[in-house]
Amino acid sequence: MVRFIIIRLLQCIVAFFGILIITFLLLRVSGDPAALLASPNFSPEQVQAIRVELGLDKSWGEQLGIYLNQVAHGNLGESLLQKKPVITKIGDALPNTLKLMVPSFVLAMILAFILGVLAATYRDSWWDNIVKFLAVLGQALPGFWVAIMAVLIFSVQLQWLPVAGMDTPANYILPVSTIVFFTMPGMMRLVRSTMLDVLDSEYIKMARIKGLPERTVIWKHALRNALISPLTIIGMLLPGVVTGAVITEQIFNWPGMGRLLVEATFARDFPVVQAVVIITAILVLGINLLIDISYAWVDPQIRFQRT
Amino acid sequence: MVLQVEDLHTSFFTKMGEVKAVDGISFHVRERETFGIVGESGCGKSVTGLSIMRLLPEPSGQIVSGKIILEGKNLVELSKKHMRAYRGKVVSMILQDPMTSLNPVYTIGDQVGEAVRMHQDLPENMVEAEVIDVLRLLRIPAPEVRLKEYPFQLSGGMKQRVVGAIAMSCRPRLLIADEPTTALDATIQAQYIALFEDIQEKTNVAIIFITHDFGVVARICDRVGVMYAGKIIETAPTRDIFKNPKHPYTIALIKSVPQLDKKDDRLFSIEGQPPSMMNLPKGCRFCPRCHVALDICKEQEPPEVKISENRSVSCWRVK
Ligand SMILES: Nc1ncnc2c1ncn2[C@@H]1O[C@H](COP(=O)(O)OP(=O)(O)OP(=O)(O)O)[C@@H](O)[C@H]1O
Ligand SMILES: [Mg+2]
Repeated sequence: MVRFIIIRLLQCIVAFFGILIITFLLLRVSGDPAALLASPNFSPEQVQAIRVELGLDKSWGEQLGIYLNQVAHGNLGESLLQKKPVITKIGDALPNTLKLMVPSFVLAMILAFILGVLAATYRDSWWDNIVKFLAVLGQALPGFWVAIMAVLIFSVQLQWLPVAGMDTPANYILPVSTIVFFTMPGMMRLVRSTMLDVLDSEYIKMARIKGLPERTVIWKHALRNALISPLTIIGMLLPGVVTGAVITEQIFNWPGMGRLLVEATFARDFPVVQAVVIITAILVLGINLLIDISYAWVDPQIRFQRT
Repeated sequence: MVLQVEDLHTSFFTKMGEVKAVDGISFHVRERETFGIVGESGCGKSVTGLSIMRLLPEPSGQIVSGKIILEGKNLVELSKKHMRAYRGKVVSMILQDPMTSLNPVYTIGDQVGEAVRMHQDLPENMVEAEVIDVLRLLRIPAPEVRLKEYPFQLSGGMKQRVVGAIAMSCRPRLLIADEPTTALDATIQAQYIALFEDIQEKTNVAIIFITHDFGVVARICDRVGVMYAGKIIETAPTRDIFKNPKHPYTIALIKSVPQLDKKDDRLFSIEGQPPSMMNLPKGCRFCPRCHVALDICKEQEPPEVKISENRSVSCWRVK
């Protein structure tokens, strides 16, 4: 078990530096920030001076070396646009994103599990049919379209909910619903189908033979087994949640990491973009690691493996 | 009398129609007796067992009519809640596939203990002793160690014994064993059968032993009912049925048991297929495969005829 965690940890570190280097290179390919910073009437010499000042005149290899060294020392650099340390920008944006994403994701997963289990338990009932319909709807409609529609209906037409901002609890309703809407259905369907497989198994019959009440059969014997494959999927859903955050924050004008990323990308503010990517990568990799560890809790066979 | 089944009909109501999986069977099992149910695949053996447990797949599987009287109570009439109190306590079952009958994510101690806690009002500190006791009954070595193990850590034979321990944990009056030995190899199978005899001696449990193998019947059953397409077509004490089988299907089945001492080692098998349970033939259901059928066999179903105190047969040729 300990070995298993150590190996996963090393894999995470390798993946992390891989992401870092790829982002770094992709950004340099995308264009020259000095050209954007400079006014159109600057002379080539002046533009060159900006490059030198920002360290952009050095070769990519040198730049990467300097950058990795900085990151290793916990220094994320300065914003090219505002001469502010990147860390303060992140410090403002990250809590806003977490305030939105964590409750949304947790809510989506809890709903997915409860609805999925109930749909499987009452298979082919009207309830199951509603769940199946919701799942298809959620997977067929694009998240951004639903979000825009929701704003149009509830904020613009009916004026029940605020359009943007994040000051009151009412501000949370639309963005949270949007994120739940595009993360829950897939998970719900998966929980339903794994649960159906599990409910068909002999050990569930055996549990009933013992005379256990149905709630013990479902929520103790079946659910624990039905957790295994949806857990894997949670890890795979996370990148989608990150992109979802970008879209959602953009639509609802939410001052979080997603919006920061979009703004910084358009301005070719390399250090900010890189920092956002780094923080996101750490979060996604960290959660994946936690998920791997939680397998061991669900499935004893993994706990006893030596690898 | 521990169990008395009277004219039990169980059907599956599917989109394609009614599947009469059990089509009017009657039998009884006494205390400390082993009653065998033997027949080809698909004849309704498991459905019979599940009907007695009232664990048919819902909502398609239903007991249509008949009585299942266990210790004087008709199980067919019991409420769901009442029936649950019987399950595991008065009647228990070992399923056809032992390898997947244990929950992979819980320990043996947990899975056996759960059954004990469910029906016996024991203080928590005595549950473990009770679990160890029942593991011993199934001759599971080092039960204290096994308690903390998971199913994947056990061999196939050991898993099968743990399943037996769960079924026997509350010392039920009736145990239904659905082909418990089919998945095991020959030596382990012999051991397991000996184990059942031992358990029966110690607990007086009545056993319904479901199998498709007449060889197994000879080893363990006191009486046997031969099942064909949802009906029991012959019932007799084991010794009598081997000595003097009456129904042409019974005769054919016994012939198909491989016998080591016979020179002819060709395996006999019965020609043709059993009828579809969705539309049964008008007359005797074995008629299309029967070599000695009469004219009447095509037209009318033979009644069940009691030919002696312990024997009955449904065949127009047997008077
Ligand atoms: N859930 C179901 N829906 C519809 N028909 C079913 C269902 N379960 C069983 N049957 C039908 O009932 C009949 C009896 O099945 P059963 O499982 O009792 O056979 P069996 O005698 O136990 O056979 P085997 O030796 O293969 O276990 C079969 O013809 C089968 O097709
Ligand atoms: Mg069967």
